Amino acid sequence: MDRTITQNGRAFLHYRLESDALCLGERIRGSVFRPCLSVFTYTGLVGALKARFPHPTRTPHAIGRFLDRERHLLIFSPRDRGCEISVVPLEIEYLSDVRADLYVERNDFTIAWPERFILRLGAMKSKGFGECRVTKMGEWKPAAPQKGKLAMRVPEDTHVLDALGIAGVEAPVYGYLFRPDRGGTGHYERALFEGSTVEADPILLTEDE
Amino acid sequence: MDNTPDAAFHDIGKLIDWDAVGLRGEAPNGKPESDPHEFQKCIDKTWNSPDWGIDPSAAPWQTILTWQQNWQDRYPKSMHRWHRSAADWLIAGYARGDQAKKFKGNPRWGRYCLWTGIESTSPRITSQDDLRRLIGFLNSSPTWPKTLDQYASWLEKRAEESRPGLNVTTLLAHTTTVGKLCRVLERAQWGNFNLAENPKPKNVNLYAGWPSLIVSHLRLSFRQRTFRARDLGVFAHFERAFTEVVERYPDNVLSRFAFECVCAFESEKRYRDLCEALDERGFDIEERTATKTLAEYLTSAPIDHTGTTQAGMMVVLQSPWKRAYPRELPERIDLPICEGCQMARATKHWPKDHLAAMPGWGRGTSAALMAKPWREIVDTDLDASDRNKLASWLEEWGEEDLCDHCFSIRRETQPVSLLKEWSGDVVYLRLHLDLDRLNAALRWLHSKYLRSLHPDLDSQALEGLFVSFPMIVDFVRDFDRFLAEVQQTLTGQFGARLAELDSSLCCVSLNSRSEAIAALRFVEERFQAAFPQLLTLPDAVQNPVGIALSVSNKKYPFFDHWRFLEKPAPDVSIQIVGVGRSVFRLADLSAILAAVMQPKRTQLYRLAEAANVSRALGEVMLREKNARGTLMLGGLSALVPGRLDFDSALTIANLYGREE
Repeated sequence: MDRTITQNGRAFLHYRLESDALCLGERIRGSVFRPCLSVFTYTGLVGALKARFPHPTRTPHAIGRFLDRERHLLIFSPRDRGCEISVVPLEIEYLSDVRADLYVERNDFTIAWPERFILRLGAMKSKGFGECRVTKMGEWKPAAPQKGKLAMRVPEDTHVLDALGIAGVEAPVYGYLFRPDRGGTGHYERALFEGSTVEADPILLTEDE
Repeated sequence: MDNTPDAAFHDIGKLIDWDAVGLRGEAPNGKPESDPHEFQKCIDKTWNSPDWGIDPSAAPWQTILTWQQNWQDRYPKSMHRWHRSAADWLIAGYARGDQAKKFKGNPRWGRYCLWTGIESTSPRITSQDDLRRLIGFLNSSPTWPKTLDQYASWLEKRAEESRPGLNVTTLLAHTTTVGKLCRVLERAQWGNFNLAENPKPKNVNLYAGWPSLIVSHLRLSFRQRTFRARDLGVFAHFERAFTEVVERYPDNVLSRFAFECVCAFESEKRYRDLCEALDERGFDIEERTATKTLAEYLTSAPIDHTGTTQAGMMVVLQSPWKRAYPRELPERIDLPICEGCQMARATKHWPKDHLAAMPGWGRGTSAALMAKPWREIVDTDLDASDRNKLASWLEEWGEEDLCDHCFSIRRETQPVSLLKEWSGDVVYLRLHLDLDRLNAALRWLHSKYLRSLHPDLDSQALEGLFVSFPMIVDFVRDFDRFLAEVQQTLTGQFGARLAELDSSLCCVSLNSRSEAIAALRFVEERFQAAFPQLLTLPDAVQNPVGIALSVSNKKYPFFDHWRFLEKPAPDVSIQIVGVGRSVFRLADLSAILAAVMQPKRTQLYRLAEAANVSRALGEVMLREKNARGTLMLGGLSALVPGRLDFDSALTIANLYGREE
C-alpha cells in the first residue's frame, strides 16, 4: 500500500538536475546502436530516486523536464576480460551538459531529503554516465491543469496519473515502459508517451503549448 | 456495358467551345447565353437528339443531363442527382457562388497555375466534328479512366471555373474528385428524401440533417526504427504497403502524397476499416478529422483571408492532430518485447528463425539453428557445406527479438544493397510537402493573381477567399511529377552513387561533401521549373515544400538522420552530423551559392575551423577585410545575418570548404 501523504494539498519539491553525461537508453536498439531518449521516463526517475532514498514502503513520484542538453555519440567496445579481446563495438547515444527541472511530490517522506544530493540515473553507470547533481530550488504549488502535450513518459496507471496531477487524457500517444517485478524480472506496461494531449500541471507539459 | 453513372462526367461539356461550334446564342438582353456545357443545345426536353445523336441510355448522360425537368421520371429510383450535386458543391466550394460575383470580366477558359504562373492556352475543343466524336464516345458508356486516356490533356488545360481570377483549378482535378466523392456519398446513410425534389438549384436546405461525412487527413509513420543501412528497405516496403491499402479504398482516398492522405468516409465503419488496414500493415496513424453533415460542410465559409478559417472539406485542417489506435493495445506485455516496434511481445529471433525456415541446410546446421541461441553458434556447429553461406550472417548480425509482424517485414524487405559498397560520406535527401503551409501559400498566390487581374480590387473583396480541394489535388499531382524528375535528375548525375529509398527520400554517396551542395542545386533547378511562384512568397508565408539534407559518414546510424529528416523545416534545412545545421529560404539559394563560390575554399575552411575553436573569432573572420577594404569572404559576409544566421553560414562553409 502506498502511504504517501501530501501536505497542504498536492505540492512538488523543485530541484535542478545537472549532469555531464547521461545515457537514457531506449529499449529499442539496432543491435549495436543504442539510441538515447530525449525525455525522462517516470519509471527511470522513480527507480533512481528509490535507489538513492530506499524505503520499504514509500514510493516517491517524480517529474522531469529537460532545459538544456546536447546529443553525442560514443563508440564503445566492451572488453571480454576472459578472452582478453574487445567484442563488437557499440554506438551509444548520450546527452551531455544536461540541465533539467526535477519535481518530486512533496510529502513527509520527501521533505526530509537533503538540499543537495547525487542521483545516478540511466544506463552505463559503471562507465561514468548518469551521475546527476541535484540541487533544491524551492517548492512548486501546482497551477490549474492546462491542456497541452506531455513532456515525459508516464505509465498509464491511475494511481500514478493522480499523483502527478494528470487530470485527463484527450489524445494519447501510447508506448510501453518497463516495470520491474520481484525476482529480477519484469514486464512492460502501457504508458503515455511524450506528445500525448493531456490536461495537467504546466510542469508536465512541453513549453510551446 | 456498365450503366452506373459516374459523376466525374458531369462537367465534360466544359471541354467544348460552345461559341466556336455555333451552339451558344444570345440571351434576351443581348448578352451571350450562359455556357451550355451540359449539352442543353444538343438534346431537347423530350430526350430527343436528332442532330447530335445523344443516346441518353448511356451512363454518362445520366450525370450530365440532370437539368432535364423529367430526369426523375427517367430514373425513378435514382438518387444520383442528389449525390452528384452535393459532391460537386463540396468539391468546388459551395460558397464560391457569392465570391465569383466579385470578379467580373471576360471568361478565362484556360487554367492559370498558381505555382508556375502559366495560363493554359487553347483549352477547348472548337469543331463540330470533335463535338460529335465526344458525344459518340460518351454514348459508348466509357469508364472514367478510359476517358482520361483520351481527354486528360484537355481536362488539364481547361479551368473548372472561368470567372477571371477563379480559373485556378483544372477540370481534371475537379471532375475526378467529384466522381470519387459522389461514390462515397452513394454509400452514405441518407434519410428520407423526397426524390421528386431537385437539389440542382443549389438548395442546401434540402440536405439539412443528412448525411454525415467524415473528412480525415491521415499522416503515417512506421514503428520499425531504421538504425542501419540494411533496414532502409522499409521505406520502399511501406510505400508499397500504403499503395496497396489506398487501392482498396480508391474512392475514399481523395488525395495521397508520400505517407499522407486526405480521405472522405461515408461511415465511421469505413473509416475504421481503412485505419485497421493501415494498422495491420504496421503503420502508426496520426489523424485529424472533421465529422459534419453535408449541409454543415457546404455552409462553412471562411471568415477572413488570414488562412485561419477554412471552407468546405478543408475545415479538416482546423481539427487537432490525434494518434489513432484502431485496435486496443494490451495493458501489459511480458518479456521479451519486440526490439523493432516495442509494441508487442517478441516471439521470433532474427536472423536465427529466418535461417532455420530456409530449406537446404545440412542436418547439423538445422539442428544448431533450431536448438542453440544465435550468439552461441560457432563454425564447428555447422555442416562444412553451409559454413560459407552462413559466414556473412554470423559476422554481420547480432540477435534481435522481434514480434511476428516485424519479423515478417524484415523477411520481406530487401536491403538497400548499394550502400554496402560505398565508403566515406553520404547525404540523405528528403523532399516533404506540408499541407497546412500549402494551404496558406496557395491562398497568398491566389490573392496575388486576383490583384493582378483586378488591380482595383479592395482587400475586403478578398475576404472569404478559400483554397478549394481540387487545388490541392492539382498541386499534389505536380509535386509527384517534381519528385520523379528530381530522382531522375539525381540518378542522371550520380548514377550508381544514388539509392532511391522511396519517392521522396534518397541517399547519395559523396566523393566530397561539397557534392551535397551540387545535389541541392539540381533539386533547386527542378523546383525553379516546377514551382517558380513559390519562390516569390513573402517571408510571412512559408514554403510548403521542405528540402532537407543530412550529411555524415555512411556508417553513422540512419536513425539520427531520420530524426532530422522526418519533419523538415520549411524551405531548405541542412544538417552535417557533428558539425551543425543550416536553415534558409530556397529563394535565397542562388544568392547563397554564388556567395559561397566567391572566396577560396581554403578561406571557407579556415572560417569553419576558426569558429570551431572560438565563435567570436569566427565572427571576426566573417567581417575581415583585405588591404583594399573589401570583405575577405565577399558575399557570404553580406548575407549574414539578413538571409543566413551565423550558424547556418558556418555549416555551409563547412560543407563547401571541406574537400575531403
